[in-house]
Amino acid sequence: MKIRLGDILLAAAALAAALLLLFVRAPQDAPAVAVVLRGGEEIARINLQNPETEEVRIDEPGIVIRIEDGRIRFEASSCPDQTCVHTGWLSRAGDIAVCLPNEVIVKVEGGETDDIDVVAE
Amino acid sequence: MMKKKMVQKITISALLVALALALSVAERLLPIGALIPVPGVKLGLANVVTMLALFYIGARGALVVLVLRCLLGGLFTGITAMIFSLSGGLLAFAAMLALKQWHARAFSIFGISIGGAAAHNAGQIIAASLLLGQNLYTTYLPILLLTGLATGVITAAAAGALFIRLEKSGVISRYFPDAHLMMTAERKRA
Repeated sequence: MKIRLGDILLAAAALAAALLLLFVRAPQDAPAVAVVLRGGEEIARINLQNPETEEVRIDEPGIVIRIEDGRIRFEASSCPDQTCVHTGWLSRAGDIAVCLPNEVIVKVEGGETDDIDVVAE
Repeated sequence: MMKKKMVQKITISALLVALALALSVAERLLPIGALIPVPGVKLGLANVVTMLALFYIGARGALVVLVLRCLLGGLFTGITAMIFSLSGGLLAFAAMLALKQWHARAFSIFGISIGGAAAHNAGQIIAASLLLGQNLYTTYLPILLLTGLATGVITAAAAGALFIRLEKSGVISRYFPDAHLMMTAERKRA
């Protein structure tokens, strides 16, 4: 099984693209806000710099979300795969963790806000 | 009365579907989700079957095997998993078919497998993003490309070894009508 030129180029391209994307991230100016969604609906919005709570519990599917030191993560979940828990800490804008079976999403928004600040008449 | 070739093709295809399903179940025993926390990431051993079908049955047969494998698998795993399976599988199929057209010249089984694996993961992230209405791409694209690379190499090694064995032992010539031997060079005898 010989390795060919196309293989090398393909692998190199994938590697380069991956590394490039890892280093291009949203700059953090404004305080980051974490949003917890369940079934597509927002159930919690937490300011990570000044968190109101340290923990978000969703008893029904058995999910525990922890907030600590300006970061947020899935701490425990009732899902079989535990992908959400293994994603670990989220801190930067754009970071996201998903528990597919339970339809819960934790994501970090921040940096520039999309909301309109002023409307000039 | 059906021609012998037709019967052979149908039987082999059914066997491949069963094989792909068995591999899908077997690879779930590996806790790869603990190493790589991406929703739906897996080793993708079923891609070996897709490649086998692609190499020795043809594009159409391979597509049939793929779709049947996803649909039947969905009976065991549920609708959501089936949608992810289909989206990943179809994209992987398209990628592998495209790369295979350039097979003999530019890509070996490694390239085809890497393309297939990366496309498979991409298809699943696309499905997850659409299903949840979230932009999962920016977060998961880098790791998806890297895992595609890694699993692609692993499945290529397994598939390559398997295909060479199958060709050399005569299994391909006997049970896969019209198949070309892809892995072993056909030497011209004087």
